[in-house]
Amino acid sequence: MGYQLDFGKVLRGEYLDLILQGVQTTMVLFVLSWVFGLVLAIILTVVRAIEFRPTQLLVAAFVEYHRNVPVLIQLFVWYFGFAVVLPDGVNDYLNDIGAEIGYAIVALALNKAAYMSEDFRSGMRSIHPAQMEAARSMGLTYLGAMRWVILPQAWRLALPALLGQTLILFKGTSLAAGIGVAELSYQARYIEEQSFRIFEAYGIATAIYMLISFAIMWLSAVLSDRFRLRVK
Amino acid sequence: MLEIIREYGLMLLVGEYPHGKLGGLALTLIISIVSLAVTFPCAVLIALARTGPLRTPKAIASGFVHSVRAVPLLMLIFWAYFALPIVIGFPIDATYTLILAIVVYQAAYLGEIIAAGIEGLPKGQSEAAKALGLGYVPTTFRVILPQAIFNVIPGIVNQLTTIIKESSLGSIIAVSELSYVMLQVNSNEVTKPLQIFGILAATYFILCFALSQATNWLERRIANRRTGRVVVEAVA
Amino acid sequence: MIEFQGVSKWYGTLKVLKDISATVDKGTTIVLCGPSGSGKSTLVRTVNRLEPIQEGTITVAGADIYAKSVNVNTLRMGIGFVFQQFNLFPHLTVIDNVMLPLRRLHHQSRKEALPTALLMLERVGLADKAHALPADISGGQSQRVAIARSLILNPEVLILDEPTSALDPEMVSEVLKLLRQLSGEGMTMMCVTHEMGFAREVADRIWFLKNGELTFDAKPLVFFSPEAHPDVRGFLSAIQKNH
Repeated sequence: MGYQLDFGKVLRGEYLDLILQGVQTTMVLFVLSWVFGLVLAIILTVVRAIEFRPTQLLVAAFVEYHRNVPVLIQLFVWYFGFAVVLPDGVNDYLNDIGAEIGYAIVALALNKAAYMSEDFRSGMRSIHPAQMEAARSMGLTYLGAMRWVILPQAWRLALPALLGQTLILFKGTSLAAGIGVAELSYQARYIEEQSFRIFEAYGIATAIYMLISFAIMWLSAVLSDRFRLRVK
Repeated sequence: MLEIIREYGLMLLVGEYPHGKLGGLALTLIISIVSLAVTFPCAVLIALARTGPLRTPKAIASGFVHSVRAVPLLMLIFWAYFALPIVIGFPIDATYTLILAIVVYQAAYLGEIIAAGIEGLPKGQSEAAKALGLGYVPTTFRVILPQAIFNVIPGIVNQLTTIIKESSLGSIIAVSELSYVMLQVNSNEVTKPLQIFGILAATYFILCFALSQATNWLERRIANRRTGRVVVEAVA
Repeated sequence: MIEFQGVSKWYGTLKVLKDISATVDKGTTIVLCGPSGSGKSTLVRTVNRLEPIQEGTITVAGADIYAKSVNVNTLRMGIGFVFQQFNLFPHLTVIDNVMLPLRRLHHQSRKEALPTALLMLERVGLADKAHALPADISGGQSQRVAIARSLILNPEVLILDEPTSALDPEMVSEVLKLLRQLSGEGMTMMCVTHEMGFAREVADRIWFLKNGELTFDAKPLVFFSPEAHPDVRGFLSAIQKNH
């Protein structure tokens, strides 16, 4: 085949800028969705732990929706669906400031919150009930026992699954391209279209994804090992 | 809402068919089932390499699994859709490139699930087979794999749910599966995106929720059967 | 020190404690024994309000522990409780397990709590394991840490629910030795156990329960004599056969 690889064509000038912007947008999506997702996951876990049927069912429905609908469709629902609820003026303003990324962060964060709250919940469930009883028997209140005995174990037990979700989220930021967020895979596609350097454009994007993914995998292995809860 | 279903319901189910190519939910299901069917033997091979005694296949399989897990599915789809036709020198249908990308991606995940199934078996199983004088191949294919695969059936069904959701990425490369069809409906009916995507989400939800309930049911049944068998052995 | 008056408890329609009345004097050691399902564990758990009762009263140091004015957490701080399964907290080191009540209930800083906790660990002979994790010590050591943790707030009463039943035989004696030492120091103790040698030697009184009833309450000398209740004699010969 008459195709000559030339990474120099893509790794300079405007194209290099686009790639770097893409990486930046990918990281913004990743970090913000992760933080918001984690905070919301903790809130969901607490709400679900409180013995009140209606709110428990609401959280369960939230979790099941996000687990059983493709992430791409969740992005569509926010991007296409939510806009019609807003008045035109707000929409115009949102489009001016580039609302796609905002919708993407909301959708990805909600999705991760659902998965992460399930991870927390199964972490909690794998703690033997006798731990709570032992904590209460020494005079700790319910909240004190949660704070000092149950939660410190729960997050350790949930950690490997949470780190797994972190990698899935990082890769999932690429789906934001589906609603026009100019993150890394969107830029790779754009550069390929402009330059016809298919292998260079996708090669570089793939390499960047792999590099960051490997870093996340390595960190996950280190943290999982460091905080592993050893129960006899 | 009902209007949209009345007008586009058939399209949602089968796409342009019978006036054009089959699409919609039917195509989503075909893509998913074919992907899983093709993935399965690849995943078994990866699992055998991962758990087997030979170092080179082990290293290759491990490298494959880790590399694939480090890349978004969308990038694999781009490679298959845009780059592969240039490498092989002739165009391929977008549906096939989607299936190919899913198979490569899922082989890594399903391979790990089956490998876990193999490693989850009691050591005594392969030792007993060896004691009977069976070699590696008959031990693996007659004793180990049938049990390992039986035990991970829930995991396999669960991957089907994942594949159905992943096949929605076909809409990005214009494969006329469920999501693509509804995106087109949305561009026809510009004023009702909430209803249209609501219907789309609900369709996926019903399908995937039913499958995940089936997964839970299978998990319980298989767990019962396994413990049941242990009890019978103990009594006998 | 502890007084049970007409204590009854039901699980649904099943009556598991039947009109129990008895007294534990200050500084004495009571051993509770009886066949499984006799209600002995349930009875000791009521003292810490881990099990609610439906009838009767229980007083500790003169105060009705089921009175509305009693704060259950304050009550529990004054009563040490040791479980069969130790229930050490796996995310904390041995010393942090022992310090937890001081830090989270008496709100001491780590620095303040450390000397007290170390002293307590020395008392149970485990100062060298202070920084080990529960997963890295033996069952006998775990139970000694659990006892240290239950004693750290200087409770007036120590309750032990089958403290040696989950231990391998070679580790039973190290825990019993510690309990003997505590009894000798004048600790008020209620201990559910099948270790009859320990009961004979250490107990001031032995309570025998059967089907939720306190059928026999005697000094060891009487308990192990031919004058004991026929149920006790049957029980003793049954467990001797098992040993």
